[in-house]
Amino acid sequence: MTHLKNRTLVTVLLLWVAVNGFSVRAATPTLSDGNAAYVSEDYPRALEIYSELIGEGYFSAELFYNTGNAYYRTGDIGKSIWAYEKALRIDPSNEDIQSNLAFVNNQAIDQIDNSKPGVGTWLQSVLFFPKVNFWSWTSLGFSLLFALSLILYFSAKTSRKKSLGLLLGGLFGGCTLFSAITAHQHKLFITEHNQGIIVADDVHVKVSPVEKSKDSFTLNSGSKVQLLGGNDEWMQIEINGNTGWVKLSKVWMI
Amino acid sequence: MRIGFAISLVLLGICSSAQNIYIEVSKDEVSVNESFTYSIIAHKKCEIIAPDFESFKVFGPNYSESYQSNNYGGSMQSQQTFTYTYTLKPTAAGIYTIKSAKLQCGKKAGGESSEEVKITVTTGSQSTVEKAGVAEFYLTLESSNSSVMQGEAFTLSLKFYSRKQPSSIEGYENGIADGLWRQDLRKPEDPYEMSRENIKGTSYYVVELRKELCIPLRAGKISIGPSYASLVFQEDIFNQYRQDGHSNGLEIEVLTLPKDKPDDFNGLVGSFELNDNVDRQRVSAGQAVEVNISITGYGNLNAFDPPKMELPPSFKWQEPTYKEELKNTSRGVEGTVEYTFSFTPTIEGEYRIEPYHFSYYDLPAGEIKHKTTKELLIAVDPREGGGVLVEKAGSNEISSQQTDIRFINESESLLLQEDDLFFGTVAYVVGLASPILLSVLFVLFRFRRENKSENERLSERQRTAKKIAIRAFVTVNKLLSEGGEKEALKTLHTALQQFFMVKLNLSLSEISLQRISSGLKNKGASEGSISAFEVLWKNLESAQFAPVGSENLAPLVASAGQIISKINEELI
Repeated sequence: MTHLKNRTLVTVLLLWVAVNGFSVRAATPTLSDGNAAYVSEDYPRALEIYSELIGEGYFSAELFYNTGNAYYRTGDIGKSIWAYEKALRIDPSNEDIQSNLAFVNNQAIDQIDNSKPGVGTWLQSVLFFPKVNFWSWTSLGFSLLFALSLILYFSAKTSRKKSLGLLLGGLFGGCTLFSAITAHQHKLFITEHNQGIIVADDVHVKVSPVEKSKDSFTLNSGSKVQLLGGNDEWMQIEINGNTGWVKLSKVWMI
Repeated sequence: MRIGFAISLVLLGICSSAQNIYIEVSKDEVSVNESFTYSIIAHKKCEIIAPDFESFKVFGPNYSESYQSNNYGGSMQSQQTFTYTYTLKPTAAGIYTIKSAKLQCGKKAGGESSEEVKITVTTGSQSTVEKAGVAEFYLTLESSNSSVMQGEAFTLSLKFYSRKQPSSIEGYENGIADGLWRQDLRKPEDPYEMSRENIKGTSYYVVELRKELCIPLRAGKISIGPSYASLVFQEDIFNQYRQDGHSNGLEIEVLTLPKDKPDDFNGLVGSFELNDNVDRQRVSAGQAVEVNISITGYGNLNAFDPPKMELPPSFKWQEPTYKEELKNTSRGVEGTVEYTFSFTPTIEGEYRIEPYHFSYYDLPAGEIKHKTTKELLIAVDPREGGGVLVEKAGSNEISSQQTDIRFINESESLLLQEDDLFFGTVAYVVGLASPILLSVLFVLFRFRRENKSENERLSERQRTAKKIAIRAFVTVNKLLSEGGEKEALKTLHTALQQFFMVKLNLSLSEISLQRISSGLKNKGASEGSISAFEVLWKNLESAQFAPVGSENLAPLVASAGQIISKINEELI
């Protein structure tokens, strides 16, 4: 009986070790692990960790920024630009990202100016500089204030209090609407893939999505393009009014 | 429709039906460059051999056919006419004979020939001189200079002379001239000014139809063809007639410019001044500098080539902006042209920019002159905030130079996933909507409470009447324990009154034993409950007049509670 108990205990222990060991191997590395690899100048390892995190669906401005650095250190300008562009989507006013993106862009073969300065770009940088959920929480706060203003308005006994309730209700209602719309736009800005970066050199942009189709023009690594749509193999792109098709593997979506 | 000086020369007796070919010319005396028509008319459809038109510029021929049928004394005679019309323009003065045209029918040698035509070509001035003081109407074309330098401005003036006062000017056409830049000095909206002049004893109305600024583009003789004008005159009160004609032609001698021209001579002729101005000569790297270069004067200023500045490679620059204030005058194109250069030094240092210079032929001095701007020294300080500026390849952008990328961000930031984006989640929607919904519910509840009917209020009061009464009994018991029998009795009585007022919807004045009993009966209370109530009520009334101890009052309170509870259950 004692012998049987000992065997059971050993079995349980072995199982625990096996499961624990497996879980240690399967654990996702952290951003700190990648950073540590980068600091120790093991750029391929850093890139591997960052890429794994991105593959798992994680994102943050820091993750993409560091990924951009790692790509740059491994000599991949196009993917480096892609990562900085992704980082800039999450934190458009980050100077480090802007600086490195400008620096790496200068080293790209194609120097195509397809920036679109305007009110929209300015608004993006102004409104989307806070953390990703800032506007969502702000809209909730304004919603609460709006509700309190409504209560004040309907429960007020004097016309003065009613006017105050109405004024505050209008103000907070407008703020709720504005912050909710901004939150929606911010989410779209981060998650919508309407632009892409060419990640290979000498990419022949085709007239139609067929391998034998004629070349329309050629792009090189780092060129930023608008994505118009596509299928499982090809993506239709547009750059400064020129459109064409490229292989899906040659363009990474921002 | 233009009515020309249709001098139809029927050179061969056109009445002679035997003649199958003859010539018609619109004029037999013309000026140099003045057009006239030469028509070969044939009555047989045979081959026409036109003569050589030496000394004439030839345009055409234009071909036409006509058919004519006549009845002479009952017999029909028909005739076909074939016409070849040439437009001829003499190139030099003299008397010219245009040889016969031939009509060749079949392969037979010979054929019919027309007569030769003699054309007298005068220089324009010669014919004008002959007309002056004699003709009813004539046109003159005059030049301010008969000999000019290449690029030197002169004027042409087209005038008409008429003995009668014209009522209107129908139109005019300039004579052709090659190698001449021409601009009308008269604005279209300017009215024509009419004056009177006495020419060789004859009084003429004179109008300057056109005054042109001309600048010769090449050296040598430039022929200016006669100009054409058409004017309308009032014959009487109802009728008008038209007169048109050509002016004389002109020849201008254009002299070549001196051969030893400097390299920076671009053909400017006139009188010019060069001015330059720089907004600042000490800047920080990245700051723009503006340089203005302006040329003022008169002459062929329209031929001025934009100035060029030789800038150091580290300077970024833009195409110069151009501004002009020019007008055409009899001295040429007169005014100022101004170029503004904007450039941005990107690297600190001292820079010397070569002056801009050009040469031109100075008309008043009669020699080539040289103009130059001041030498430009630009001191470029380091960029504010330090660093060096570099240009971005293929563009004029300036960016801060980095030798390497900035280091990674090592902060322990929170990694997000798409689910972490709060917007659009159920929690977000609930969080956003719930305060608003709750406030709306609150408002509705309040609204409903404020707008309850009397029956609803009564029902509510009736529902809570027992609770209020029981609460009062607790107070009564407390008063009894404290020795306040009188107060307790009063409170108990009041509580019962309140209970029945609410339950039976009675006013205080209506409260009495009979009224309550009948009310309880009507509302469906049992006989036992009614009897118990009546005993209780009487006991309470008697207790008010006879002092009762707390030991007797306590059972009364307890029975009151039971009776009220029972009645409350029984009442509908």
